[in-house]
This record gives sequence, structure tokens and C-alpha cells, in this order.
Amino acid sequence: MPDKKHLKLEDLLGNDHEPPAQSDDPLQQEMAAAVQRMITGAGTETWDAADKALLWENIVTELVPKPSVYRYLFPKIAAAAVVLLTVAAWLFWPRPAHPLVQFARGQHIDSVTDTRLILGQQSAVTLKGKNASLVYGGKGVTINADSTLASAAPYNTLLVPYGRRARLQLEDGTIVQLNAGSRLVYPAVFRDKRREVYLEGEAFFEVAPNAASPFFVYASGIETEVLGTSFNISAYPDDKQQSLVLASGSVRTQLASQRIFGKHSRQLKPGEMATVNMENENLQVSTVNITTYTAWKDGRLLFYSVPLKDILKKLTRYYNIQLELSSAQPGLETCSGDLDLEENLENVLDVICATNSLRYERQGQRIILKEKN
Amino acid sequence: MKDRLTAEDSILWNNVILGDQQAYRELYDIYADMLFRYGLRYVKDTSTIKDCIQDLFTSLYHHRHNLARNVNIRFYLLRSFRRKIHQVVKKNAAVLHTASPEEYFSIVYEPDAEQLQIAAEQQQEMLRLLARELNELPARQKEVLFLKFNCSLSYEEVAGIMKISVPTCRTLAYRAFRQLRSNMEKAPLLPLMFLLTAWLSRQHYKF
Repeated sequence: MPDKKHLKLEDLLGNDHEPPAQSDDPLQQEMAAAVQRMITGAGTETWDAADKALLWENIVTELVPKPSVYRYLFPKIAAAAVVLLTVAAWLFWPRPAHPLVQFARGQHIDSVTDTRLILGQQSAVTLKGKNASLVYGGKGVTINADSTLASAAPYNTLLVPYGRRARLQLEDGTIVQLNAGSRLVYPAVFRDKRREVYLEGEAFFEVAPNAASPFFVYASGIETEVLGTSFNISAYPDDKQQSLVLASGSVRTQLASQRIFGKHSRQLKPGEMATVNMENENLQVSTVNITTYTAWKDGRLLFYSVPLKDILKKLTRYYNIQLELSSAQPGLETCSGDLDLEENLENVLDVICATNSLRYERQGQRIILKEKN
Repeated sequence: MKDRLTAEDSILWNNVILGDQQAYRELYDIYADMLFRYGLRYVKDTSTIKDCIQDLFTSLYHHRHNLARNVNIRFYLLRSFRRKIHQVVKKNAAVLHTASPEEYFSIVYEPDAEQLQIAAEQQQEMLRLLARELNELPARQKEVLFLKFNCSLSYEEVAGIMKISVPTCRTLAYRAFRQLRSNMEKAPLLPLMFLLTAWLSRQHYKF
């Protein structure tokens, strides 16, 4: 520390933990005193005592124990959070598929040549004939109008192979006509509030009205809520497109990937077709000629501007024989017509070949359509 | 400097934490004037200052469970109060796009009227010069001096309130005094300092 004699004004400021230094130089000493006096003399306004007391009166009213804002709000916030979480969970939680859908998806299907009824997981009944008929009633299921079978299993499955069709009357009176290459999973008896069936392939439904128990059809790409009505669903797993054509009544349909019936669901009017493109999961609705899509159940195939390869695919299912175009033919040219499927395949193929300048050749289990030379 | 947290302060603060209304009354009686004066350094509008004081005391009460024990009350109150005042200044200044709230600290130094009356003419000049030099100091230096001398805080506490380091705080004060001294010594009135000295020493020993 410098000599006390030479301590300057700034040296007299001192430190936190030691008293300020005192200079021996009277000039510095007194200047320090003068500076300090002037500093402490400034900013010493007085606050009117009455005004100060008045402010206290304001303050004291707020110094009362009040329930903490957070404590008061906590139950509400907690409740709101729970509601939000529940809604979010319900919306976004990967929900397990419906038991019936789960059952249907887990089913192992052997390829069959005859229409087959599977009761539960194991026991299967083979149904002879091209057009099998099943009627469910109180006692069980009546097959082809003669033998009656008790159906204890919760889920029954009807398998209709290529070349066969079936007519099924469910326990509630709903009539389902299944086209070739289809599978329908349904309960023997509808016990739930919702009547639910799972479809793979094509079927025409005439749903028995029952307002208390809505009818749902699940397919891999399309889900339909039915409000007492008749309609055709085509949902073959090997088709790029699945569709529903409404013949009468009203249905609400949506993508199977959609969680809930929301903005992506569409209510259809008779004569409208909902199409789901399986590649981009797009649901579109258009107006169509109903008969074109339902004629198969009457043994006819109606088509209007349909690519040839799509017609051959349908015929392949219907007659259970592989129909192919020779590689030179992309099969994209469209044709229109009305084929009677009760005719034998040769007659049908004659018609197709005549209108498309084609000829056909049998090659073992396949028939190849070729260009006429 | 000795530990300035007296037993009395300690009891008062504990009662404040306990929510004793009488303690708040006492706290208000003791410290409100100081806060009021400090507020005037930033805003001229007294109703704004009073709002800040009211806000300070009510939030102190409602957050009393979170208050630290063993604090220097004066330091604690000034620091919280400065934050509130700065918020107001910032809000008002936002429209004008001006500097940080600290730049708004203002204080007017002037010779004491009584002093002037009894001082000789040259001495009066000296006092006026001193006041002028003090008024020339930057706002931050003025605030350090105000908190240190007018509010009797340590450098550490001043630094804590102004959110600066202790060395910076000390440098600000030191620089202020050095500037004062060098400007005073440069003044043509320097010879008169001795006269002033004689007078000041008389005054000084009176207290």
C-alpha cells in the first residue's frame, strides 16, 4: 500500500472487508469527505408519509393466505391432461384388429378345389356342386337344403374356390352371394351389438335391416358400415383395386387403414361405387351402372370398356382355369360385352376371340390367347 | 466489513418467511422509502414506482416459501426491485429503441443549499465544480456510487444487484473517483482547494 501521505481520493474508497483508508494528505482527505457528502446528499427525495401509508393499505389487502393458484388449478390441469392423453392414445395407439379380423388374418388356408365350410379352426365340411347354398338358423346350418349341421364354433369360414360360387344366408337373415375365389369369415350367431364379417374376394350382400345392430364388412383395404342395404364388394387380394358398389340403401365406407370413421369415410348413395387403390390408399367415389358389378351373381359377366386382361382374370376365377395372353399382347385394349357364364368356357372364349381377332390354344392346365395369324 | 446481518434482521426475515403480516409491515416501514428513492433514479412517475413496490411486497408474500434464509434484506429487496423497475423501463423503452435500462439511471448532484449559504464565494465555486464533475459521470458509475454510499451496500452486493463481477464493480467506483480527482486538480481553482479544505475540515468534525 502506498504511503499514507500519497493516498489519493480513489485510494480512499476502501474494500468490502476492511475500513476505508485515511490519507494523511488533508487535501485528499477533505476532498473525499466532500465527495462522499455530495453523493449521499443526492437522491434523497422524501416520500410523502400519507402516500406511503396509503400504498401499504393497498398491499396489505393482498397479503392474505389464498389457495395457491397452482394447487387450485392442479385437479383441472390433471383432468385435462388425462382427457388429452386418453384421446391421443385412442387416436394414435396401434389398436389391435378386431377379434374377427384377427382370426381371419391368422387363418391358414389350404388351396381347395371344392367349396368348403370350416367350423372354427379345424373341422371342415366339403360342399359339393358348383353353387353351394348354406342357410343358418336356430338349429345350425342347413347345407344344400338337406343336411343340417350344428355349428358350435364362434367363427365359421366359407371358402369358395375358383370355378365355384356359393349362396349363404346368415343367422340374421342377411344373404351373401360369394363369387369364385372368395373367403367369408362370420359368426354362426351374431351375439355382439355389431354384426361383423370379414371378406376376401367378391360378394354381393343383401343385409337384413336391424337398426340396433349395424352390419360391418371388413376387407383388407376397405371397411364398410352397412345401414340395411344391398351392395357388391370386390376385394381380391391379387387385385390392385378394391371396390364397393351400392345397389340399394346406404353404406358408409372407409379405408381399412383408417383408425376411425372420420373425414376419410364416405357415405354412398345407390349407384355409387367406392374404389380403394391399394397402392396409394386412395378412396374415390364414382357413379356406375350397378348391373355391371352385380351381374356375376346371376351368372353373367357384363363389362364396358374393360381391359382384356381384367376380363381374363375374372374368367380365370370363374372357370378355374388359367387364361393367359401371349406376351405380344399387353391386354390393355378394352372391350365391352355381356357374357353368359352358364355357357361352357369354349363358347365364352369363342366370343372373346371373335371380337378381339384372337385365337386360343389349350396348353395343359392353361389356355393361351394368341393373335390370329 | 463486519457481517451486517444482525440478529434483528434475521428474526424479521424469518417472520417474513413465516408469512407474519406484522413482519411485512415492519419490512415496508423500514425499506419502502429506500426503494422509492431508488425507483426515482429510473422513473419519474411515482405511480409506476409504487406499483413496483406493491408488486414486490405481494410477490414476496406469495413466494415466501421459496425465500432464502440468511440474506441481507436490503440487498435482497433492492435486487428484486431493480428487476421489476427494469422490466417497466424496458417495456417503455421498447417503443423508442433505446439503450439498456441501466442507461436510464439518473441522479442530480448539487451542492447543499445550506452549505452554499455559509461558504465563501470561492468555496461555492469549488462545490459547484464538484457537483458538475459528479454529474458528468456515466450512469453505471453513478449507480455503483448510489448503491454503495446511499444504500450502504458492499461491492459484492452492488455487483450482485447490477449483475456485474465484483472487480468490475470496484473498478467502476475507482474510476469514478479518479476521474473526479484528476478533473478537480486540473481545474484552475486548484489553489482554492486549501481554503475549501479548511472549511470542509470544520464541517467534517462537526459530525
